[in-house]
Amino acid sequence: MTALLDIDALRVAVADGPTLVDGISLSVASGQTLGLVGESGSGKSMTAHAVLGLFPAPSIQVTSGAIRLEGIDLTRLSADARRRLRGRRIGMVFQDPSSFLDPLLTAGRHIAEAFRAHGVTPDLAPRIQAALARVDLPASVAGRFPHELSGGQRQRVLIAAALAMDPAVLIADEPTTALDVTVQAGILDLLRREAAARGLGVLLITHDLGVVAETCNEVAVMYAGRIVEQATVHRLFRAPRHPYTQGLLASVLDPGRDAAPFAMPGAVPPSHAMPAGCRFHPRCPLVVDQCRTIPPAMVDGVACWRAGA
Amino acid sequence: MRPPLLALLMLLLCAILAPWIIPGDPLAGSADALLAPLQSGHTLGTDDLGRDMLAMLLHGSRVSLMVGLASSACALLVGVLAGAVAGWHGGWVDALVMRIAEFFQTLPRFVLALIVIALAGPGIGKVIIVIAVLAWPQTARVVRAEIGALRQAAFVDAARLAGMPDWLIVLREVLPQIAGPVLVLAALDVATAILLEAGLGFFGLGDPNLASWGAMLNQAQQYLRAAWWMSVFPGLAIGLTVLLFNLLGDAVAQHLDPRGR
Amino acid sequence: MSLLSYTLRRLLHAIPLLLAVAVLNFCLIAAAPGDPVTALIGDFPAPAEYVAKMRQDYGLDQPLPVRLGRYLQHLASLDLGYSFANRMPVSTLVAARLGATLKLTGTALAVAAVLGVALGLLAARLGGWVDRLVRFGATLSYAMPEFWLGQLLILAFAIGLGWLPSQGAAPLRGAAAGWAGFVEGLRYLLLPASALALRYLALIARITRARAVEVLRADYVLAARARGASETRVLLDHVLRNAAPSVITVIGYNAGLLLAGSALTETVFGWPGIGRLLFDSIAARDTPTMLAILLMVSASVVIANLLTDVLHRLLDRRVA
Repeated sequence: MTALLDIDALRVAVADGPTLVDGISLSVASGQTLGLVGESGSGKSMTAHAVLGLFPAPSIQVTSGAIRLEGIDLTRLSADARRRLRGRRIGMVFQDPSSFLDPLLTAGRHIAEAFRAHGVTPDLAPRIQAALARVDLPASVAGRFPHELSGGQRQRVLIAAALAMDPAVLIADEPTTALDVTVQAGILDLLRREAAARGLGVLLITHDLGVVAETCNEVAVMYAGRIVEQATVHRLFRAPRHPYTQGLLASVLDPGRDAAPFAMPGAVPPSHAMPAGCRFHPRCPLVVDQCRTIPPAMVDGVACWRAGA
Repeated sequence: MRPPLLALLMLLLCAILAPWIIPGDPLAGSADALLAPLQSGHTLGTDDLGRDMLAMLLHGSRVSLMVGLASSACALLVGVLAGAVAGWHGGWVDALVMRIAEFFQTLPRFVLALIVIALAGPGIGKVIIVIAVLAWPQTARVVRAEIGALRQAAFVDAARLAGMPDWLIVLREVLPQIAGPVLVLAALDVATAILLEAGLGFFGLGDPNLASWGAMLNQAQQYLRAAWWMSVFPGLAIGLTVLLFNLLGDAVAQHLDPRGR
Repeated sequence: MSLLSYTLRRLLHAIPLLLAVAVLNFCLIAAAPGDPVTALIGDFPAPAEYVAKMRQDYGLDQPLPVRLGRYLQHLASLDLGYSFANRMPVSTLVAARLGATLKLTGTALAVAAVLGVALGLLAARLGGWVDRLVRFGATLSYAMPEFWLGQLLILAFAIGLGWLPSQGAAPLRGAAAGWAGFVEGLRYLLLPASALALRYLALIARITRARAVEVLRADYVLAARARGASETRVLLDHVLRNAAPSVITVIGYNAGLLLAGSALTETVFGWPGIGRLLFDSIAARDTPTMLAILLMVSASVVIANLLTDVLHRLLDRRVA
C-alpha cells in the first residue's frame, strides 16, 4: 500500500504563542480509513486545517514537519498551488451541514462551485446529477435551497461537492456528530463504500469511538496535541495499551458489560499551560516520576512509559 | 468613549456660557466691517451685514444643541412609553401602537418637517415637537422588542410573585435592563435632529431672531464667491457636532457589545 | 408562499399607508393657521371667483368628514390644485421638474451603491489600515450635511479651480446636441451628484463591510475555500450574495434620506428639480405645490419600501 496522505512530524503553532499540534505523524493509504480520535482541544481539527492549508486565524501556522499528498509536500507549495489542490485532490466534509451550506445558494450551485473552481465548466448539469446520484440523492435536489433539505440530505450534498472532482483523499471532521442516529449510519456507509469501491483515502476525525469501530481500519488517538497510541481498529479495541485509550474505551457504554461506564477525571489541559513530560500524567492512574519530566517517545504504536507495565 | 464625551461636554459648556464668553446680540451687525476676512477683532471674519462669525457660531450652538437634546429627550419619553405599553400589553394594543409607529417611520422626515414649519411658522418649540413626533417610532420598536423578550424572564416572575404592580416592575426591573440600546438610539437621534434643524435653517425656516448654523449656511450660499468663511465654519460646526453624537452612540454600542464590529 | 402572493400581500399593506399619508396632508391643510382656503391656494392674490369655486369644490363650509371626502376625491382624480406663484396647474409644474430630480437621485444612488459596496467589501477583505480608513471615512462622511458639502465642492471645484459649473443642469444658452451635450450634462451633474451621494455611500459602505466581515467568518465560506474556490469567487458568489439583502434594505429604507438630501442639494446647485421647487414654493408660500410635493415624496418612500421588501424576498427565499 502506498500512502496517499503522509503527515510527518507536523507542528502547528500560534505565532509567538502556544503549540497546538506537537509533532504528529500519520499516513492514509488508498482505500484506507484512518480514524483520528480525541477529546475537543486535542488538536485533531487543527490537523485537518493544516492539511487543507486553511487555518481559522492567520496567526496559526505550520512551524515544522511535512504534509505529503501523493508525494508532494504541501507545506512548500504557493498559496495558489494549494488552492488548486483543494477540492481537486483533497476534499473535506464538516461537522454541521446546515452552517457549511450557503443559505442563499441551491444544492446544485454548491456542487457546481467545486467543478468551476477547477476549470470544469462544460456539461455541468449532468455532472451535478451524477455527483448527486453518487451520494444517493435524486436529481431534483439540485434545485433546492439548504433550508428545504433535511440534515442528512445536507450532509450528502456537502459530500457530493467534496467528491465532485474525485479527490484522492477525503478529510471528514465529525461528519455525523450533528446528525440523528438513524441518519448517521447512512453517511458512514457512504464513506465506507467510497473507500472500498474507489480507493478513496479517508481521514475520519471524531470523538466517537462507536463511529471508529464501524468505519475505520486504523486508529490514532490524540491527546493534547500529540498522538499517544496508533493501532489497527481490531487491536486497539481488544487491547488498548495507553492509559488514556483505556480510559476512553472504559467511558463508552458497553451493553455486554455490567459495570457502569467509567468517567475519566480531569480535562484536556489548555494549550498555553501544557504539563511537562507526558501530557496525560496529571490525569493518569499509573503515573510515575519519569512521566512528569520526560515525554515518552512513540515505540511500537504507543507513547507511554508504563505501556506493558 | 472618553474623547468624544469630553469634546461634547466642552461644546455644551460653550453653548451654556455663550452670553458670557461673547456678550451682546450676535445678530447686531456693524456697517464698518462687511464681509471682512479673518482678522484680529473678527477671528473668523464677518458676514454681509458685518456680524461677527465667531459670535454667531457660538450663539448658534445653543439652538442646535437645544433642538437636538430636547427633541431627542421628547422622542425618548414617547418612544419608551409607547414601546413599553405595546411590549408589555401585547395583543391589540401592541398591534395598534406598531401600526402607528410604522406609519410615522414611513413619513419622509425632512420634507414633512419643512412643510409643517412652513405652514405653522417658525419657532424653536415647534421644531422640537415636529422632530420628536417623527423620531419616536425607532425607540418604541427597540423598547417593545426588548420588553417582549424580558416579559417572560424569571426575575419578572419573581417580582410579580412578590406582589409588585406591573407598572412598577416595568419601571424598576425591566427598563434599567434596556437602557443601553435606548441610549444608543437617543445619541443618534440627537445627531439626526441637529442635521434636520440645520436643514430647516438652510431652507430659511429657522427662528429669525436667533443665530443658527443652518441659517448661516443659507446666507453663505449667496456669498460663496466673496466670503468662503461664511460657509466653511458653520458647516464645520454642524459636521463636528453631528460626528461627536454619532461617535458617542457608537461608543455606547461598542461598550454594550464589545464583540460586535 | 410564492413571490407573487407575497408581492400582492405587501401591496395590500401599502394601500392603507398611502391613504394615511393623504389624510395627514388633509390634516395639515385643516390645521394650518388662518383661512383654510389660503392653504389650498397659497399666499397669492387669486381671482375672487376662483376662491369661491375652491370653497365650493372642497366644501370648506361643510363639516370635516365631508371635506376629507372631497379632498380625497380630488386626489384620486390626480387634481393637485393650481399654483398661482407659477401660474400653472401643480401637476404640470411637478411633472416638468420630475426628470431632473430622477436624473440627480438616480446618478447619486448608482454611484453610492457601486462605490459603497466596493469599499465595504475591500475593507472587510483587506482589514488593517484599509479597513480603518474606510470606517473612519464613512463615519466622517455620514456626519456631513449634504448642503454644506455642496458648498465646499462649489468653493473648491467651481470657484477655486474653475473646472466645473456651480449652478443649474445645463448652460443658459441651451444644451449642445449629441455627444458634446452629454459630456456637458455630465459636467453639470458631477458636483451635485457627488454631494448627494456621499452620505448614502457612507451608509452603504458601513453595512456592506459589517455584513461582509460576518460572512467571511461563516462556515460556508470555509467550505467553499475547501472546495478550491478562489478568494475572488468567494467574494462574488458568497459574500456579495449574502450581504445583498441587508445592503438593499439599507438602501431602500433610507429612500427618504436620499429625497431629503436631494431637496437640499438641488437648492445649493440651483438644480431645476422637485427639491428646488420645494425651496421656491416655501419661499413663495405656494402651499398647493408644497403639499403636492409632500404627497409625492411620501408616496415614493412607501413604494421604495415596498420594492425593497419584494427584492429582499427575491434574494433570500427564507424570509417568511
